Amino acid sequence: MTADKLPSVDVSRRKFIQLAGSGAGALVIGLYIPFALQDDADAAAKSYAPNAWLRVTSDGEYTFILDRAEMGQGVMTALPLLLGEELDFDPRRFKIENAPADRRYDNSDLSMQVTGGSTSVHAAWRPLRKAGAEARMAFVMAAAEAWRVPLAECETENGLVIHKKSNQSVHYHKLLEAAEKIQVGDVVLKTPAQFRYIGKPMGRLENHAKVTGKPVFGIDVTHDNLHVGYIIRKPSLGATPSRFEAKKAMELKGVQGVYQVSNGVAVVAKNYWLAKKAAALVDVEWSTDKSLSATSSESILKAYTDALAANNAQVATDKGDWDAAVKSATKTIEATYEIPYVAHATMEPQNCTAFISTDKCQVWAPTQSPPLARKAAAAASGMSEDQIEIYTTLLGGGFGRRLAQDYVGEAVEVAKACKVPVKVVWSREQDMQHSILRPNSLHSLRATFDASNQPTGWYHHLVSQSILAHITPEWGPAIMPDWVPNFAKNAAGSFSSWLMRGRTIDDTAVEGAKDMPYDIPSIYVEHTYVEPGVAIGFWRSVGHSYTGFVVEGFVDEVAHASGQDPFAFRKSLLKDSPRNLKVLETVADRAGWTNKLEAGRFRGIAQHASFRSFAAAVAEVAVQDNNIAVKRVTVAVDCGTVINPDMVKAQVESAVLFGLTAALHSEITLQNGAVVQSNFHDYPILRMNEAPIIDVHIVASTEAPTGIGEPGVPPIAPAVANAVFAATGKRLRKLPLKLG
Amino acid sequence: MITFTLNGKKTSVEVDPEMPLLWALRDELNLKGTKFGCGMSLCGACTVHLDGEAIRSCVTPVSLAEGKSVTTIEGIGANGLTAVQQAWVECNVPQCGYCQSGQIMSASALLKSNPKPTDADIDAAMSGNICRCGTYPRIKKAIKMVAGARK
Repeated sequence: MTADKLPSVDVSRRKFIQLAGSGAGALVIGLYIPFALQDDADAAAKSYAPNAWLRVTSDGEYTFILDRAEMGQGVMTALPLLLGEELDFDPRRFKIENAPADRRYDNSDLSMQVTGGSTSVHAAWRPLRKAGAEARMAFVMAAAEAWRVPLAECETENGLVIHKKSNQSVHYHKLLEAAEKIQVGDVVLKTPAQFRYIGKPMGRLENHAKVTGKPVFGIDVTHDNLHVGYIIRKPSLGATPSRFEAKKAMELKGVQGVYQVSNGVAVVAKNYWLAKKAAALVDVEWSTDKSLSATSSESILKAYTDALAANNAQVATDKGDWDAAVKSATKTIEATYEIPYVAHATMEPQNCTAFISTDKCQVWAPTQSPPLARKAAAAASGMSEDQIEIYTTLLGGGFGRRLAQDYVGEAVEVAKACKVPVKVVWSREQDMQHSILRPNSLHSLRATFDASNQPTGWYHHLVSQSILAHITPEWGPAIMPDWVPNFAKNAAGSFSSWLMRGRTIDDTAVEGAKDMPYDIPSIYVEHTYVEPGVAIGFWRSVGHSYTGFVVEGFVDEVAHASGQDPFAFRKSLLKDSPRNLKVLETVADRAGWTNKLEAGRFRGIAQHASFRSFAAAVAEVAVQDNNIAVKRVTVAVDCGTVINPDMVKAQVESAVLFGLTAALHSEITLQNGAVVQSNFHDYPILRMNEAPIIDVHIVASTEAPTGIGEPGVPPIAPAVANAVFAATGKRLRKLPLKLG
Repeated sequence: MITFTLNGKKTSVEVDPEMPLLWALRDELNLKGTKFGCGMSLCGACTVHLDGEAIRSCVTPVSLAEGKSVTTIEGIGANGLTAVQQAWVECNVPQCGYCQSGQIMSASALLKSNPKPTDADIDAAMSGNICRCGTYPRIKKAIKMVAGARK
């Protein structure tokens, strides 16, 4: 294996093409072929690339260039399916290649090349289909011209142009030279009635590979002369290494070197085991930041509690007249909700491989954004962005963790120091303790009622950090057009960050709260910014991951105070939100909300809209000796047009179990400036024996497809908490849910 | 020098005998199918078969493999997919896929010793394997599919 060639999973490529259309199944995946090599690979055959996502060679190889990170959510199936549908080419025949960092692959919903926010299918819905339709049209026109027949008499079928009248057909890949010369005009996209693949059953394209252990995740990258780096990381917030003694470590055979980097002291050795063993022998002296190293969960809660009372909030929503509602209230209820930090705990610990040669820096990473990775690599290497090559691998879980590029920058720093190809691997303990966390938050809520016990006012004060304040210095420049000079991009990023620190509201902190859909006459939502110095970032469903719990918990309290059934109450206040109402009614119906339950079982309900989609859940629980056992979860989702029904169902099942883990188990706490939890014994993940029966119902829709990676998460914790209330009369206002 | 049978072939490695079998497989023998998830036998991603039994290779020193037979995910489907792997594909089990090698190895060991497991048997055998993506319902369905297909 040469330095640049990387393994691809190639399952009888030519044999497969002959079997095409027979459903033989095995998909060819070239998980990352360095794009620079493409010219060499195609020297023999002619290559035609009508758009950024499709490449066809004259010897019959059809490659789909995947510009979003596959982390289990299914883009590796959904996106080829969109293009294949309009191209009229079975997506199972594609060879899949990962895209390099390039603005042609910008995600139009987020203004840069990034996978997140449950946007991939929504953003690609028209562009990929249009690209497929235009490519198909070029082939049809080329064939019609060659056969000298009218265009209207030509059809296509799975990669063939057919002229029935003269009994002629030709493969697309035989038409490349002619197709290249054709100017395609406007194209008409298929109607849903014409869909062959969209909405139909189809297995995940990479299933076969994933059950054989063959696909390459970031942690699996191989390279000639590859070393492994293990970084000794700070023992508390704000600590930096002041000096280190590596003599004993260097005595171990196979240790290449010990180097200081921004994130600590890196030990580079022949393999992970050795690097970790050697790291234990390095003596590091840390200089600590007095105030940061005193940070604890208690000190943070105190600061947030003070912030609630400080009258320093910014208004997010002011509908009706909250003050008047307070004055005229017959009854008022209030509650405080507390949300902890949580970690992503991707099954694959963070890692990144980097190699710096004289004129370029190559990075292999399980990243959710190639251009952000490139930016981090450029900063760490001191090289310019066009000298950086980013290869995106498969991700062993993302959940937003891989939107940060900390693992990239540090690997490049290590590569620069050690001068050999190096893969920096994090231990699980490091992954848990040095992560970017879902922010914690404190919430104060109040509701007012009139004489007929109807709610008249809703007040919600949120206290939290700002994710955007942390990331706009990186993201700001990345979303701006290339022609903007760097100094201007950086200034804009810094300015945004400055604004986010208490001068303007970070929308991601209040999403799901500021726009809560219930039709209450007065609604007042405000936010106070705080900054305890803890690294935070995006976690599956972001702000909705806690506003879902808080809003749906307090709505349940309002329903109870109003003397109404939780479902009927919500229904009565969602008349102007038809899609919210529909999923709520669907889930109540499918869960048998009004049916009697067996003894000892209780139900709770919640609905929450996020990322343009709508979801509602009913949780059925049993409570025994303060133990909450979730027996069944019913979910209804509306995510617009469904590309692959079973994969939508899988995403919702995924969200339920992810949401249940958070609801029942997840809490990251701090003591003495450090995260307390370290592995799965003290940060438990839901296991099979705790998994409930899950029923998923997809509301039929002809709207454009909207997100499904995240929307299933927000209603889960509140549905369980509301069920616990029904079971015990105890209102749990903290996560994770604990009785007694 | 530690010698053992790996996926049917006699294999030797010259490493620290304390090195976990996981790292000998991944870093020394370049078999990346077995995954690293926790290093403390809490997650099951590292599951392989040692003389037919499912073990967590992250806490098993490679010296314990001396003279024994090790089977990894790369070795179970020597002639095409096994019934378990086929059921995994049919039930659309994998999402990110990272935990699935370990899941399949645990499931294969279960079905070998207990061809018709009950739900409780499955929970007991499989709850040591964590899946962050939430594929448990499908894993259970796939195991039952294999069990049901057997006479």
